[in-house]
Amino acid sequence: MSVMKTLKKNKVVRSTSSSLNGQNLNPYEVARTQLKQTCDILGINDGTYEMLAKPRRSLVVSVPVKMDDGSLKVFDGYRVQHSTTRGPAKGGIRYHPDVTFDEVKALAMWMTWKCAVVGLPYGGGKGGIRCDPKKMSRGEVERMTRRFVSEILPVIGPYRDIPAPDVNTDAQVMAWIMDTYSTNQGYPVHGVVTGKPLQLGGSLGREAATSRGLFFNMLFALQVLGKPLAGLRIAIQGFGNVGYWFARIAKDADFKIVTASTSGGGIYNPKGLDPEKLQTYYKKNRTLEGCKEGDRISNQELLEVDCDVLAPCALENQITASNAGKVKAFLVVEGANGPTTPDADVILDKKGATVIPDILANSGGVTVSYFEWVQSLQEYFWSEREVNIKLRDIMENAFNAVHQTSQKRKINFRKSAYVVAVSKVLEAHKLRGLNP
Amino acid sequence: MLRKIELYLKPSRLNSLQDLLIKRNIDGMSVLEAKGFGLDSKLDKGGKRLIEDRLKVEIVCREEIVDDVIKGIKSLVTKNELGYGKIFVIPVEDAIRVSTREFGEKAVV
Repeated sequence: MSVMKTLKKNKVVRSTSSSLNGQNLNPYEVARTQLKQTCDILGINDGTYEMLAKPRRSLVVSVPVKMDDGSLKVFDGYRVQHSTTRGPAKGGIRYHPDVTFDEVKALAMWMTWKCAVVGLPYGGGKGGIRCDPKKMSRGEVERMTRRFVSEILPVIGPYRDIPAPDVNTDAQVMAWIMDTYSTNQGYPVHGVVTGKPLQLGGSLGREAATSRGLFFNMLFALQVLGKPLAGLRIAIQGFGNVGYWFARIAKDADFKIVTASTSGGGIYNPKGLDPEKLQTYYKKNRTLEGCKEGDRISNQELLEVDCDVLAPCALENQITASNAGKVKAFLVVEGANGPTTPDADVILDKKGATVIPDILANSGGVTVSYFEWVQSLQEYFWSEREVNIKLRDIMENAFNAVHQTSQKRKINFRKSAYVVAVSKVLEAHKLRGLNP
Repeated sequence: MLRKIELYLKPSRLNSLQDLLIKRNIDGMSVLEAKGFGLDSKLDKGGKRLIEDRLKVEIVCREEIVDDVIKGIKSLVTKNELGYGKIFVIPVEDAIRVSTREFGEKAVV
């Protein structure tokens, strides 16, 4: 039964902003249902399922902030540690007006599976503050960050829970987190957070890591599909950090990039696009609209263009039941989190298209975060090439494990990635035992 | 950090290889005559892989330029043109130029 059908059957309360074909689905319920389906494949009983589904620890905090105009505003903040079974919790902190407790719980659970499928010694966590940083000054964001860190201080730390950047949080925010935590400890603690600026213990290769991992996953998938690499056309949706670097790395390897887009729309050129020229235009105009390197195309049309590989690198819920049938790519690599709806997944499956799921495809980011954490703990830093080669090895092992499970159980890559991830967490649970 | 790039290639590509190294300010390489077989080697009448002539080239350079050198080497061969050899990248602990006593990166510039 599909996730959608199960959710409809269970009459899930659709209370958050996570929109699916016009319906609002509670992301935590989606995450729980995905886990339930995986538990059914693995024959896991209800009690164990509940243990895996519920977050290990959740902290809800109020974050009072003195605004620039002298007024006082109180924001809701969350830090959820879904699992610490395989290691400290790991996951980003996002600042967005749509942040909810349920969304953070779902994202924390997905981090558990992402870290497990790649084999990183982490559990999963996530945090967020319900706020609109675009309407706040830098000073207000800094004060909010520092107060939030002070509130969650007891549960984070390099061996407890390691935050990272997410929606609307960047290297500067991570530096404030590191500083606030360190000030409270009385000494510098670089390992408390990843995604830091290089000068504060950040890792070389971090900026392009998600895209590099995505690129490796695409190569491994093309290999097992037996597709020749020469002349392959890639359609990319999104030209943020992930989309740009993916385009650049793929172009360097002689692939043809036929589309690129920003939120207002994109461009299409079947002869191939030059990511550097697009980046120059984007830096100047903050959009790709009006760029003369190709024909204008909407973000929806982009998903349906004639191409071999489709890389959605923008938002969630882009490939839906209404457009999945028109996707021409034989391979979809999910650079974004959740770009394919569960219904669309079924349609792509029937069409014979292969989807490399987000928790595997875009796990290069958290993998290099892990490298940054290791380097921070050692206070010894690696070269960029060393980072990239280690990333490739980890991606290859993860891809092979998911591919083999997919072959063995005759299930698609998404289900297989979940089976691999949940099995690893469950195995760790069994080995550690229940206390008491 | 230093790396050694070892590659096996068909003798016909040697001059082009030297040109591309010079373009990247790499002023030295070692060339050894080699023989061997691989998956793409021709078969003899008995179905056994033929031992073929190749050159083994060794280049020691700074890690930062390894990817660029590899890109250059790959450009010598059209993609999917089989039997043109392999590239290996190996860490080098140290390098010493005996005549000047220079060591590390200076010894390979």
